[in-house]
Amino acid sequence: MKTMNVLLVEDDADQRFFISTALSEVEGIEIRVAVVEDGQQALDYLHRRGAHRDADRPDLVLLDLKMPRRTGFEVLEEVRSHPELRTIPVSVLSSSERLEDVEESYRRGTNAYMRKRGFGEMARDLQAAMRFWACVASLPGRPA
Amino acid sequence: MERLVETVSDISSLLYVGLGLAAARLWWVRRDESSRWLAIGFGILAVGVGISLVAGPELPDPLVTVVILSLLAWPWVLARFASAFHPLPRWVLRTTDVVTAALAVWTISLGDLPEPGAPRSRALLAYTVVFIAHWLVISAIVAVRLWRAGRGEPTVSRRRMRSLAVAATLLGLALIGSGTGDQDPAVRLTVSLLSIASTIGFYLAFVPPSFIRSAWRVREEEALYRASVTLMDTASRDEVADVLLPHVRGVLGAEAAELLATDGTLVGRAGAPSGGTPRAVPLAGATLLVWRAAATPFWGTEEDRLLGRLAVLADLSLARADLLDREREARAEVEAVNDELETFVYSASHDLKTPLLALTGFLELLDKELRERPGAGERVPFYLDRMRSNTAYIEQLIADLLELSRVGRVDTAPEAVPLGELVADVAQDVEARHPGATVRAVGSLPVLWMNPTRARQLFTNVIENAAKYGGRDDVHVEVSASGGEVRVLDDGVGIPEEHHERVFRVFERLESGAPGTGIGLAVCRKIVSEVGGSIGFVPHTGGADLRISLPTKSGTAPSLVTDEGIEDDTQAPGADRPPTAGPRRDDRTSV
Repeated sequence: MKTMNVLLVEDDADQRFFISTALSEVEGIEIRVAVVEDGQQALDYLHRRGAHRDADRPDLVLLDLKMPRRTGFEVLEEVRSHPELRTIPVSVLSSSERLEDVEESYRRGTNAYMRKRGFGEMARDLQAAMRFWACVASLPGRPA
Repeated sequence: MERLVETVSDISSLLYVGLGLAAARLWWVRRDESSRWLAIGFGILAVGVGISLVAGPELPDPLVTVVILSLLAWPWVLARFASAFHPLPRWVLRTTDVVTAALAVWTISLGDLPEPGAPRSRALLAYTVVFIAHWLVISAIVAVRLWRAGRGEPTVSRRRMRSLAVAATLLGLALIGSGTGDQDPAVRLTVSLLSIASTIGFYLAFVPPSFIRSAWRVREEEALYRASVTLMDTASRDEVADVLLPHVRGVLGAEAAELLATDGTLVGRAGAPSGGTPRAVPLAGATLLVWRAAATPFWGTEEDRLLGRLAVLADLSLARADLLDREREARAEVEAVNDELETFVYSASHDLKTPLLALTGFLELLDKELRERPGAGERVPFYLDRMRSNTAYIEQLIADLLELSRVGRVDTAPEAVPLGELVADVAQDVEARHPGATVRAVGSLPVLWMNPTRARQLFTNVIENAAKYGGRDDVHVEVSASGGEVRVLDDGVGIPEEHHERVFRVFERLESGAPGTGIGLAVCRKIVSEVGGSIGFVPHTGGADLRISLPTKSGTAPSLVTDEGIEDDTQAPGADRPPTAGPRRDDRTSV
């Protein structure tokens, strides 16, 4: 079975629960989810700072946009400007339907933009997305 | 011949007396240093000439001395005059003082003068030579000064100064002629004619007739015209200053010009003033300062009038620039408020959406768990369904409100949108969502010129509305174009005429509990008005008849050109259905 390390960056507790639940229900792929609650924690995790000293490098980051301390845009900007982090695939997962937010996310280097929906729909979206990232796409350091 | 010489000489003398009066008048009007010296100079000259005119050829010796002294004073006064607007070197003035004083003493000590034509003594010859040389040198210096000072001046002022220069030179030449004492009538006639020519020059300098001024002003008139044309393109105070001030300098020959705001801040400047007090012209909310070039003895009503016309032009363009400024400010304010509102609506909708999304998620999870545990309660699935339906409704409401706030502000540039293709696409979607409903395009539809996303949103809304609120499942919708309008016709229950306007307002629905958020048609109207079009229902029996005018590809005017239309304008498709207004479908009352 394929395995994936996913870093989930989400400030809303309910959403963290839904997304984690949906990810745990994904079939055919073993997904290990690390969860952080804002953009600052995400950067600490990726840079392996403080409590995240022993953190694994994620195969995929699921990133919310509107968060306290550091927004998703800021995280994207920093990840994409860092020589070691810039190759990590990032998928924005936001409730915003604004075209500007979609465009801005891609401008700052996201690899995908997914919209949060009801639980059932989101679970189907994540099943498809995870299948794509784990089985279809070749990721840096681990060819498909 | 003798009579002719006498007559011409008398005319010349009369003209000099007149010049004395004209110079006095000029001083009376202007009261400045240069005109004072002119008045003194021509006054003395007029007195001398007047004496010889009145007394005739048989002049007693003391009077002859007075006449000669008056002629002697002329170059001295001329030097003062020239110095008044452009100082001559001190030594020139000092030398003039000394030579004039010496010549005056010499004149008085000359004693009896020989009769005209009689041989002259050596002393008298020497006196005559010094006298004429002094006169000529001073006249030449002043003439050159005047000629040069005219450069860059407005034409009228420049020509007046040059007339003065030429006249002073001619007067000098006339004096040489008379100084020779030659009694040849031809010489005397030439002297008189030169003298008359010089008076003409002086008159042109002092009181140029209006037709000559008009002819001289042509260049400035053209410059003014160019200035007014260019000023019409200016849109801000800075631009007005940039365009106007060089023209002010050019037209008036001013040394420098500045435009000051009411609070004294500098808006713009052309040229650099070398000192002196500027002429201040008050304008609408600004002041125009004009520094006259130091060498402008003839700034007069002419130049003031030009300045006045420039001031009117400046006033107009400043008023226009201010108006444009205020309009820009107002627009910026409105845009700022709109941006703020959009940010607010976005944040609010995001914050409202987040708990709703959670609610929906938990409802789904609850539903799933209950399904796995049968017998938890018969009514529970129904309650869950109602909760889901309500949360979905709030979600839609938020999405629609957000959309309404965004129409027209976050849209991209217009593109060509073939309405035929668009309607075919939308028809498929709507028919899929409303089984039984049929959507058809009739005749040729135009190519619209607008944002394609908004066009799709508009036609999806209006066609879906027709299918959704038709009062039954098998509603037929027809889209056609005629008479410069797009027409969306359905054979549903229609909309009572008194509600034709109301339905376009936010949250307005014809029946409480009807599906939808009541925002869709408001969004449609906003989309249409953003592109300068119009949308509205027209009275129709047996269905609803919606007319939309939109810009087409050929032009931005909200009109449509099509060669085919609906053949029967009054008969709705499927109008065989009785036109009774049945109740609208209501998903809440159906349970």
